[in-house]
Amino acid sequence: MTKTKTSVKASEVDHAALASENRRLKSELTQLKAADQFVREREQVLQIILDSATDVIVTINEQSEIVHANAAAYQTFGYSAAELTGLPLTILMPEIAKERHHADISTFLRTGTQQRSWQGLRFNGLHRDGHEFPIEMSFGAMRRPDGTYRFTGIIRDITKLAEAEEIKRQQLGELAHRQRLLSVGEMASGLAHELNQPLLAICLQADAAAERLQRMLGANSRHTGPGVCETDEAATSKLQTSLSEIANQAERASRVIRSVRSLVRREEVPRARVSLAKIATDVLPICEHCCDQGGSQLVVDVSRSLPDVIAEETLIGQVIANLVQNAVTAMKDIPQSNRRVAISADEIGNNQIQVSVSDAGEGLSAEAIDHLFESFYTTRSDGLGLGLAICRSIIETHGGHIRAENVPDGGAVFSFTLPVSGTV
Amino acid sequence: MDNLRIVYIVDDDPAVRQAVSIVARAIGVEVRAFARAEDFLAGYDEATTGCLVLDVRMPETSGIELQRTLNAAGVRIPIIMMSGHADVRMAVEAMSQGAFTFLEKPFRMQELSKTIEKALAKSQAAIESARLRADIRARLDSLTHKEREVLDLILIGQTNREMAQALTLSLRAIEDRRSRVMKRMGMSSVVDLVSAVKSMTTAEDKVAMKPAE
Repeated sequence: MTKTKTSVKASEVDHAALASENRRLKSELTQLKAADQFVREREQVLQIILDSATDVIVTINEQSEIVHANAAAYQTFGYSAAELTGLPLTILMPEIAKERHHADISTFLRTGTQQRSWQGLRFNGLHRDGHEFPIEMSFGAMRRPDGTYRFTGIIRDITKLAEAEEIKRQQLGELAHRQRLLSVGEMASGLAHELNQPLLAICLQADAAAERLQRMLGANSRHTGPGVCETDEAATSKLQTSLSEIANQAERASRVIRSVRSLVRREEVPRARVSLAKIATDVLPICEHCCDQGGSQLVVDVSRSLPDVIAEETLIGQVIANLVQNAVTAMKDIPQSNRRVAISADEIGNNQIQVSVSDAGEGLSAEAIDHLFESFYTTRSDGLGLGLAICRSIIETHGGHIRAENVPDGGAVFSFTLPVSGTV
Repeated sequence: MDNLRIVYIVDDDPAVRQAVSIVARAIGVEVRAFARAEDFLAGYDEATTGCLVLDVRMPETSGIELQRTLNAAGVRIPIIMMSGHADVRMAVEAMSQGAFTFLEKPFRMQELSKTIEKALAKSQAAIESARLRADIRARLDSLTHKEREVLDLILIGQTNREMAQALTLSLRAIEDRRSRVMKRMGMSSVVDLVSAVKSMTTAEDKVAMKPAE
């Protein structure tokens, strides 16, 4: 209307108004150009993002048809971006995932809300060649001016991540399995020791009693007549049979314990020359996992220049993992920022290498220090009291020693020694 | 009490101490039993024939540790190490450190009695030979410088004539000194003299050379 009015009054030739109108139009044009430039640039940025992303980025409509896909789709699913356009997104999913996808979209369209988080959904993707692989997908919804929705999805191939997780899971499973085996072995070993003591006493006492009886009989037969002696002799003989049977049966019981023990425990561990750095590196994922779970920092200082030791490396790794696990548990009541586990190894002379695992917890009681390494001793309500006993038996089998002490500025340190290779 | 023989027992388990004591008393020896290695060290008499029946596995000081302490102190009492099946490796270590023998638990009275008798015989022989060496040492120390000179030459096998020449003495003087040496050393033949002196010096060398572990 303003423009019409202007033309009607053209005869009046209001130069000033015309000039002002011109300026306004020019400025509007400049703004439009700038806006256009801005949009172009945004589009370019978007395109670069889409082209360079290694994750698959797709846009779909309400029918889940692919409106746009980026180049990474080919790498991940075997379809080019052009091929995918117009195809249903579910072509990239196995049956089980299709249903859930449709349910998610239709629920959203009906209620306008998401029934579950659309971030980091994990399920299997379906490659063009038919193989399934683990993917992680995040979704976003965009409302268009006409009221319909578009959805964008970012899909990541997590095959490698899943493999790494699987390996870690297996390692932890194996660790738990070994732990159980060792627990049974340690229990049998502890029992064997505890039972052999009384069995030895039974054997010796029965033998000594039988011998005393024999001597008494000898004395009697000299002092009394042969008639009395005969009854005595018969009775004594029976008693002696009983006593010798007591000793025999005690011996048998000991053999039973021994055979159970050798069933569950390998007597000889094959040992080889190995560097502590390698042992530490191999067991590191497990230690890291423990520390992650317990919210603790982990510091490892094991030099490659240390001399090799003679050891069965998985068993020594087991000891380290066990000590780290204990260290983490010991710090559960202190502020997370102070939780720190340190693994270190040093040469301590005498052809020994000492490995230490220290924590920043509240330290050990004097009573605990005295009994820590005994079978069935525990300060935890959920503990069997075998972990450290197993550590001790592993280290002693290797010709080393293990001990625990408190650190002056707080926390405890568990150290064990191993002989340097060439000295055993 | 010259024929006193003592069996020392060190085991933390009272039932085992008692049983081993009964067996040892049955063979007519004196028994001293201790629950801890430290108590044994305080109650041990080195000059009397004895042996030690020792448990390899004890809570405070282990049998192996006590053995090391005794080795380091130069105490040579024969040790009968008692070990469970679980401690075979420790038993091997005990043997390599010079234990007399080891018995695997549980063992029988006869086995223990025989082993104790053998260990005591070894101890007695060691004590006798130590006494003998001390005697020879005392006699050697009683020699005058001149007599010692002659003894050294006898030891390297010189004849009287060679000695006379070496020491620029008359044959008569050498014979004289030589008979004084034999008398002081309490020997009737040169062969006995040489073997006695040599056996002692090699034994002393061995002790001197034994590393302090």
